[in-house]
Amino acid sequence: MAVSSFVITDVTARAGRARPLAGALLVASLWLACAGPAAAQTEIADPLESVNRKVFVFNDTLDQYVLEPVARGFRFVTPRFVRTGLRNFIDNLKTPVVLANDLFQAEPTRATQTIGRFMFNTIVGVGGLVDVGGLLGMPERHHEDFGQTLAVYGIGTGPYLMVPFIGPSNPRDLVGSAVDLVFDPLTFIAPSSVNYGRRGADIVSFREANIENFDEFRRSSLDLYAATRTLTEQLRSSEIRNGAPPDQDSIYDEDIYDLEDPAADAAN
Amino acid sequence: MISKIRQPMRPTSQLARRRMLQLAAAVPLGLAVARAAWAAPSPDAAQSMVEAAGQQVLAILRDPALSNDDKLHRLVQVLDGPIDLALVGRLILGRYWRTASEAQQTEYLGLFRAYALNNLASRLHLYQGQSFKVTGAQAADDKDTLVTSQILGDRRPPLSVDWRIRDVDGSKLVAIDLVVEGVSLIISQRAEFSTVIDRSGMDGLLAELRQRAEKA
Repeated sequence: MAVSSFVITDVTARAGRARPLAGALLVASLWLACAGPAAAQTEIADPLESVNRKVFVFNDTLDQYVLEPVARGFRFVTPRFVRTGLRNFIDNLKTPVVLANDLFQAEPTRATQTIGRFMFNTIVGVGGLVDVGGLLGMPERHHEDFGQTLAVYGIGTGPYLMVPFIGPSNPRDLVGSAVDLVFDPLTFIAPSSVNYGRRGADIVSFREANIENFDEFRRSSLDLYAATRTLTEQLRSSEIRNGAPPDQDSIYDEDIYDLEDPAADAAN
Repeated sequence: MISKIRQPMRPTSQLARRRMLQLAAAVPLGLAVARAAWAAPSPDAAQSMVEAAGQQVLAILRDPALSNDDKLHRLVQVLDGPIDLALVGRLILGRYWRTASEAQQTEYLGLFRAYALNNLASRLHLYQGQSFKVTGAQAADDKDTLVTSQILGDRRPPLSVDWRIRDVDGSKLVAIDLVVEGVSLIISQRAEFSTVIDRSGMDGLLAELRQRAEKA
């Protein structure tokens, strides 16, 4: 997955794949039923902005008073190799979901990479604690989920949603999270305490890895809500395109806004 | 293989405009003029421009003689050349550029330059002593060339940075956007700035940027 450490994603976006809310799901299914395929958007539809902003303040407070302190504590008490091992272990557990979605998106090469890495890491890498695939020079680990699969099938996101405790999402990705639970054997074979523990570890581990990036992001943003919204959307689209560059040439055209001649504009 | 995602359609007028440009370029008389104004930089030239900029940045980050403050200061100086911040600033404002007064435009470009350089420098500063590799270059459209690069960390997955390079006045190659892991500087800042402008006007944006400049 493109866990960018230069920019940040909201940790809770990822956690959201695991814990969909029933209510959000209902809304989501209704929306999907009537929306049909939609084109990729460059501007994010945010009709619920005023509510979303309130939820964002709540999530942000939660991050500052709970998640961030926990992440800093985690960094303080663990050596780096332990944190790396945990990260690898958690990523390895995601293999069934990634593989299922590689296949749904008809990506045999990526599916093969997913299987190969899982075999190496699980058998040679002590149950996934060591990313043997990475050490052997395999392509960077990728992430897939059913939200991305729906996007590849041409389903649009629907309105931007800021979900309490979960973070930025949208109806399509919330449905995707629910479907992904079904592809995950641990959902059925492990006790719920194990599943919750694993989600929690995933969130804390991600937040710890991005402490400096969150700090920098908060410091540089003029409007944290708007900045988070565009960042989430851009990272997600890039993930859906599997990292290929977007087609957004129009933003680089000076003349469509008459940018080249400010003097003429001022005269008008 | 299923095509990954449907791209938004270009507005017809723009498409038509592009067609006309292509036609114009085919006319021998127009050829010389059109070339100078529209040709994308050659991949080799763009690539070596990015390599040079990257090496300058790395040299600063790795210099043990410099304090952290010195490094930030030097990064700001070094980044000013290869990125056309005046153009980037105008592209970010988009349609709001037209409606701003001349005084607002001038103040905005000054404040934006400081804001962008400080942010870029302090983000790069997080990447102490890591390595940088240019991985390729290709024409993005008729004006720009996209240079792909990676920042390699010792314990992190490589970070992809795409540089959009343009030949602004026929002699100097400059970057007009940086795209980090699919996140474009222009798109991000445009989303943020337009939200601020919609809420509190161009003067509101200038006030916010002024406040940042005082803190920095």
